[in-house]
Amino acid sequence: MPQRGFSPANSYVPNLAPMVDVVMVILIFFMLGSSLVVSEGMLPTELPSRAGPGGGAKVTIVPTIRIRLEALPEGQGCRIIVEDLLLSDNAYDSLASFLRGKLDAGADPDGRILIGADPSVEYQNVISAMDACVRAGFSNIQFSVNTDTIAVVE
Amino acid sequence: MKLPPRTTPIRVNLAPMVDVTMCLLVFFMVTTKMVEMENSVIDLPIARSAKDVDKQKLGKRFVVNVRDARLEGGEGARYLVQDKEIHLLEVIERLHRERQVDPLVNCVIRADRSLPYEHVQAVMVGCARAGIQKVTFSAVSRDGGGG
Repeated sequence: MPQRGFSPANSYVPNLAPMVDVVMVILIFFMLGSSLVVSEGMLPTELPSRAGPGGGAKVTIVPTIRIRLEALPEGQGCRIIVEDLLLSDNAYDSLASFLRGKLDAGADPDGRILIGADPSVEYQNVISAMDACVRAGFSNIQFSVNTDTIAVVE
Repeated sequence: MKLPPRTTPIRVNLAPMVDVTMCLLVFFMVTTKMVEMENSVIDLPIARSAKDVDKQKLGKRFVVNVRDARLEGGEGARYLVQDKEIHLLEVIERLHRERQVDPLVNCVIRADRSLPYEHVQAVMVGCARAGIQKVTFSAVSRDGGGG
């Protein structure tokens, strides 16, 4: 006579091995995916308290070194003028060398550098100029925002 | 008569391992999504001196993403805060509000490298007028897609 009703409880054991395989593959994908992402760096800056509320952003500053970035026509980058000296176009390594030379000549590493850029200059050029200053060893970098408003960062 | 030793099959209990693995999987999926929510896909500028700053040290952050609308066939710039597109005036208003909530708020500017400087400058002026002293520029130390 055939047995009726439920089979004994220990006869059905789900096979978890394929599930573990799939989950492990997905886990490895997410772990590698998160580690392969190019890590995002920061260029921290600080505005002076003088540019606080009520005071607007009008700050009179006497920079040690002035850097001017002028846009070249048709998006060919920009012209770098540092202390009235024209550097090669887009030569940020030369800018870093120039600034390092200034430090070697006795310039104060805490001295202010003022970066002024044309509104149409690509943002990358402004960051490259700031990067060159930081690499040279300067830490107090300011941005002239426009003719009557100056934001200072250090 | 001596009986041969009985062989009992060894069964590995995979259930706890599945539990742990599933927890890890959910963790990675959720954190990836959270990072995406705060940071829109931006072609960040390259700066070799950009340091990997501890997010805790940055304190309370207010992230402003500035996208180059020309990359999507538009004109000008698109300002995104927490994955929501808002007008520049609203960005400035939000900066004022964030400053009132926390005077030490850190404004993180994430902008496309191809963007004309004037659009980033507008956010910086907004920060200065709102009285936010800490401004941080996001950059990548090498080319590779950005954030």
